[in-house]
Amino acid sequence: MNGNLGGQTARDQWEAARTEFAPYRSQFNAAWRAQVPVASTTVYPGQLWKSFAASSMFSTDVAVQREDIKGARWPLPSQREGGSSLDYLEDQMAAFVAEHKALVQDLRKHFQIPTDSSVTNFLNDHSSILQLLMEAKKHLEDCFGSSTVFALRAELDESGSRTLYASAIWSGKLQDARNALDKFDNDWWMSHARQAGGYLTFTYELV
Amino acid sequence: MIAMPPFDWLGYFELAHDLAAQDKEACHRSSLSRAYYYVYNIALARAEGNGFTSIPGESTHVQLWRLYCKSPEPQCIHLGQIALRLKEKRERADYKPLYPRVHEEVLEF
Repeated sequence: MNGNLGGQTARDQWEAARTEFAPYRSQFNAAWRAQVPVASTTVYPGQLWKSFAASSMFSTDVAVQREDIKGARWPLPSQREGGSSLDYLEDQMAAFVAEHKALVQDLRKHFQIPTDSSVTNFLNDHSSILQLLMEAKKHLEDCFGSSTVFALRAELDESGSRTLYASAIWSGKLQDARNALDKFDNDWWMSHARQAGGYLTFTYELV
Repeated sequence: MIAMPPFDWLGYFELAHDLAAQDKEACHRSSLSRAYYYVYNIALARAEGNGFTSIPGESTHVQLWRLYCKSPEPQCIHLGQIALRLKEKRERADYKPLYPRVHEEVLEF
């Protein structure tokens, strides 16, 4: 495509348009300047406007008169005042990882976690479940008793899928464990289970 | 070819009941397994009747129970939770060499 449109090149059309709108251009630029303070030092979105002005058809009149517009380019994130959220992405990620690790450490105070990485990897992939477990702890103690030990397991099943099981290690009567689990379900878990989406459940393990 | 009636999954539950009454650990373990597959097949048929199809790449069991656990219906969520618990017991019964007090687990069958 050579830009030839109906016998006129794109350049011809552009020049024709410039000529046609020339009488209005100075008015438009005056209006444009009125809206944008010349002394403005706002970088963002001021920089956006500068970038636009530097590359637009109106830049001829405006940019020539304004030294600060000449050669304006889209600013790099590091050049923007106030920065971009992207500037802090690495910091945010590092903070998130640190917070997650601290929560997992806290979780170890309440749940037995296997020495292999199955549970910690699972929690890395399903961070919202970590919060649910922390919330569940109080309710588990209320139902099973504060001296009950709880263990987490996330073993692979036959198909290679993992579900996280939080088990009350129970040496007492079976019926007491079932009653405690029913109470836990009714008091708290059934109204929160949907948040886990089938990736977590609570049970008991007789010993 | 003679058209056969579909298998009634209730037969698995009855078998689970019979196995639970035996005095062998192998029977108790198998009882847990049959009870799980009874629940699984009934739940799967109900889900498929409502348009559920499993996606290749992950177990139908897992997908099915996640479907139930994410349902807006509290009864479906409850069923999903019961099934996940039974699935864990079934896997222990089928694969773990030690299953303490398994005979107690199957008593209610």
